[in-house]
Amino acid sequence: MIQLTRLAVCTLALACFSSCFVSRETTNVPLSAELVDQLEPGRTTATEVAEILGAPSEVVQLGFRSAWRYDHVRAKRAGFSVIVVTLIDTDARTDRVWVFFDENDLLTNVGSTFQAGGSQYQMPWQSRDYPESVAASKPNDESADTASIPAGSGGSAAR
Amino acid sequence: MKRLSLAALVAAACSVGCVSLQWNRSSLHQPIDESRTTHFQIGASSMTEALYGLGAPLYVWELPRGHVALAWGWFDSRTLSVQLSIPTKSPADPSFQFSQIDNRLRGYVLAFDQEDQLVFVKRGYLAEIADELRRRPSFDVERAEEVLRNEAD
Repeated sequence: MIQLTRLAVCTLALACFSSCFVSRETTNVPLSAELVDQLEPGRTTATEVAEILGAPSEVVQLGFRSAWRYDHVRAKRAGFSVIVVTLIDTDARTDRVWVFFDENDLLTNVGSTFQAGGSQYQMPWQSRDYPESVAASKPNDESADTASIPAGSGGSAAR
Repeated sequence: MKRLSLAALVAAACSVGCVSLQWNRSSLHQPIDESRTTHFQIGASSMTEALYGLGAPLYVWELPRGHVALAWGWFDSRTLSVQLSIPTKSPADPSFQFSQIDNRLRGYVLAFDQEDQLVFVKRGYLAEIADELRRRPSFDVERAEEVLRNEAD
């Protein structure tokens, strides 16, 4: 009986001195692969890109050319603490789209990566799960124009 | 009595958070498999191929002579630390800023010329590569004298 009481007290004490938490931090709204799919290099203009995707997060001037960045960041953090020991795990991933324009503001290249949805709540000893994210084949000029962007998290493509 | 006082002191320090042991893992972005960069050929591969193979870069900036640098990177670390004070700041900042290159990120920088053909590939810490590429070339005295002579003529 005494041992059982001690065990109960120890368990209660451990429960009182332990804590766990999860948190999530996001920047910007998620990007849509379907909207990015509407962009056609050689045809779409900068004005049309702005109409489809909205205002970019950043504009980079590249001589007479330019590049626009769209992004969405999602960071997930999980932690566990017992008295003096604290375990914290942080996993931050992003959706990114870069569009490149020539000197006439005509779209030349689009690069996109969709990984934000894959960020995970984990403990430090757990292995990260990274989805297959990049197309394996190398496109020629024709196939590059028609390459599709995998839907959901972990996809990336260029056109 | 002294032992009891010491034990009480240690217990108090631990219980109020003055002493803590932290195991922290932090990662930013998905790592890029090296095999995805090996098939790129300088002078032959295009920006379109690089974007297709590696996805959207993290950073893009202009280089001299109309060249363009594209950088892909990631960060993954595990740290074990003992803290002897009350933690007032998180050990790892989960947020990521695109506005400046995070000096923890390592990865690849690919440069392209005005025709969007691959000029070079560099691997390492992105901030260090960017600093190296942005560094001004050393002043060429002979070249400057030649320019001045030509202008004088």
